[in-house]
Amino acid sequence: MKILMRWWKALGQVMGEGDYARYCEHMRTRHPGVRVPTQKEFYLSRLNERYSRPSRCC
Amino acid sequence: MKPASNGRRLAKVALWVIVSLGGAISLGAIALNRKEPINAMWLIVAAVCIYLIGYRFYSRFIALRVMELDDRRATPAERLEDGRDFVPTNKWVLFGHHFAAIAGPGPLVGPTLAAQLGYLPGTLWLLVGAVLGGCVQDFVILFASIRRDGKSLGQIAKEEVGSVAGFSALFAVISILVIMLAVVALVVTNALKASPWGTFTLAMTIPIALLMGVYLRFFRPGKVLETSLMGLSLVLAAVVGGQYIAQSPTLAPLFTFDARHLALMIIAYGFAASVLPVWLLLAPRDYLSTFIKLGTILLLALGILAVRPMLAMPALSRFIDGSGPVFAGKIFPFAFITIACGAVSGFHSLISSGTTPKMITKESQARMIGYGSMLMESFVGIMAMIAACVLQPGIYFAINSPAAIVGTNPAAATATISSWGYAVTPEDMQQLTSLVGEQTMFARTGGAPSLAVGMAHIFASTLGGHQLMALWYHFAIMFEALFILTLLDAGSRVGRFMLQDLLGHFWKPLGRTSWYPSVFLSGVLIVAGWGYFLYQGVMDPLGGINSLWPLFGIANQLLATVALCVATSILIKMKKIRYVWVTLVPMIWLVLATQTAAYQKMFHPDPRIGFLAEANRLSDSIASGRIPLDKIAATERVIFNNRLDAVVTGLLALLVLVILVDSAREWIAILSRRKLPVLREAEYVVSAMAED
Repeated sequence: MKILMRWWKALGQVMGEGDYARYCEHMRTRHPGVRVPTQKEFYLSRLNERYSRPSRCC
Repeated sequence: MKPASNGRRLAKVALWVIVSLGGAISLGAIALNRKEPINAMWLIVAAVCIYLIGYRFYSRFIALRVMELDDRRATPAERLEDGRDFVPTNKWVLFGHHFAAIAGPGPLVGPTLAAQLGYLPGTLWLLVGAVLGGCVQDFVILFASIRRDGKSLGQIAKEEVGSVAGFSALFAVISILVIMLAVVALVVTNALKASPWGTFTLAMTIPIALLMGVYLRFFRPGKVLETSLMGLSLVLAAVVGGQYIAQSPTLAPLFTFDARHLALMIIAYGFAASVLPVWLLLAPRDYLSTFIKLGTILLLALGILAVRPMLAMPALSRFIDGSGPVFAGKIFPFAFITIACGAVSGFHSLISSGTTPKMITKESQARMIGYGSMLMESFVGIMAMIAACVLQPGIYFAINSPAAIVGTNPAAATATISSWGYAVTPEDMQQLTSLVGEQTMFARTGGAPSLAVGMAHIFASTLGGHQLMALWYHFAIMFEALFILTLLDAGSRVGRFMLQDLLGHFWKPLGRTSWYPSVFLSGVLIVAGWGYFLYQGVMDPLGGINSLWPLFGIANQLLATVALCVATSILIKMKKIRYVWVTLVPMIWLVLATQTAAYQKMFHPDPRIGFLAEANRLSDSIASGRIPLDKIAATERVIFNNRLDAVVTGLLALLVLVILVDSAREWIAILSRRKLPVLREAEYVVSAMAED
């Protein structure tokens, strides 16, 4: 069960679940005091960036 | 590294002796058992042993000696960390990320088509090509991009080779993208033709994706996994529900289309998806398809291990003489061109110089992520080969031969195929058709239907027996169609950005990605580009795959040639002349294969191989009055398309020759010391991160 949970979490990481939390952590430690976008803003801007360059292959 | 004790070292040596012997014995069994059918497990064992040896020894040699990966040197993820693009990422997570990005329909379709030559040629090239070519390309380009702040292949080519090469590379990438999108769209069109069940399931993925998009955007931003799981259950419900649509006399006609209408709908869809906001359709569909892709590949591997099927296809079929019905042409060069992505894929160099280099924590991890994930991709190709070869050869040829070759009458078609020595009866086909719940299984070209039959065969033998065969077949069709459509959305969008980048060189405003007329114009150009080739493929009397798949294979392998050429330039500048064969030998092989294939596709006297020969044959037919009056306009279009295909093939081959010549000039200048080798690597910064 524990292993299954770990795999599930890893799969979530692969698909980008933890991106926002990591970004917040980065902003908190490296740029304290700078306004951090909300999760919605972050999600939208990341999607636009991601699909502007090759992300899928044949 | 810790010094191993003598006992452990001995155990290690013994292990590698066993792996080598295992590989050698399996290969021997495959090669020697020509007369009787062999078990698929021999292929699996041979493949895994070869991968292990290639990974353990060859990739290690490249990592330590050729590229000298240095873990004390900080990667872009560490130096430029911004929490968004540049993020140090766990290597297993990044491996999954990279593999999901490179795995596409190519390694599934290519080996399925190449199975017409028997399982041996395709399997050997999948193994040799990956270990010595494809994995090396992915690995070296990933390394090159890591050393250059995650720059793209085009930028690296421009800086390390020259602006002619850089510009040609950008142009080549766009043309190759257009051909790739056309051929994968053709595969979907052929798979859904006259299939209400399949069409309904795929149509349902659009509202499901929209629903997921809205849910992710407004209710649970970032909760990708739960949303994908929800989407997955809806898609599975659609697969099951499709059965009732197909059986209903009122609903079935609503989802039954011929190839022409399907093609038009796919073109319209592709355009809409590439200009709509990404969160609405593109992103959720991508999540869904990644999820299903990874799951199904795992399921297929488990299925093959559980069933351990026998291969019904011979090692070498009679079509090694070049007269095959699926695609025309001899083993060299066409087996290599057809397998393409499963062994060497030029497109991977775009991913290896895209997101992945910006997320890698340590240089040494490039070995596992670059070399290792391409081994996985090759293994997917081996599984597709197995799935195609478990079918009775007669059935395989009945599904994959175009009507223009075997006719539309079941009795005549099966008689023709049986006369080739691959027995099949109309009853066999009737039984298969009702088993998978389709209207016909004759002339379902493109590879997807026969792969789906093979997969359904393997899945149904594990779970559910023959009752579930139809369900598994349509699950497999949905799986292939889903990520091909994702590729169409994502590819059209990326193509649009690349085209804008290219057009911006000629007139600045066209390069602005926020200027609406430019966005619209380049979007239309890209979709019209692949849409034209798709439509031409649909109208082609020979079924389209015969002309478009080789064109795609040539294009893809040409891009790999460019990538390996850039890699060779970098090795020369790194003063690694001694090891330059690592990238130079696969490059020379690809140049030989692609240039031969390009030449044959243009000038071969056999009309089934040469585009110009076919155009001439048809215009002779018109001139001698053998074409009925009402067919003349259509025939003239086919003539034009064949000439166009010849021109496109020629242009692509020429473009790559330009890049090769430009690079060779640079190499000679450096080797004859007329020019100092200047590497444009980012500065060396000592890493502050501990090794893991």
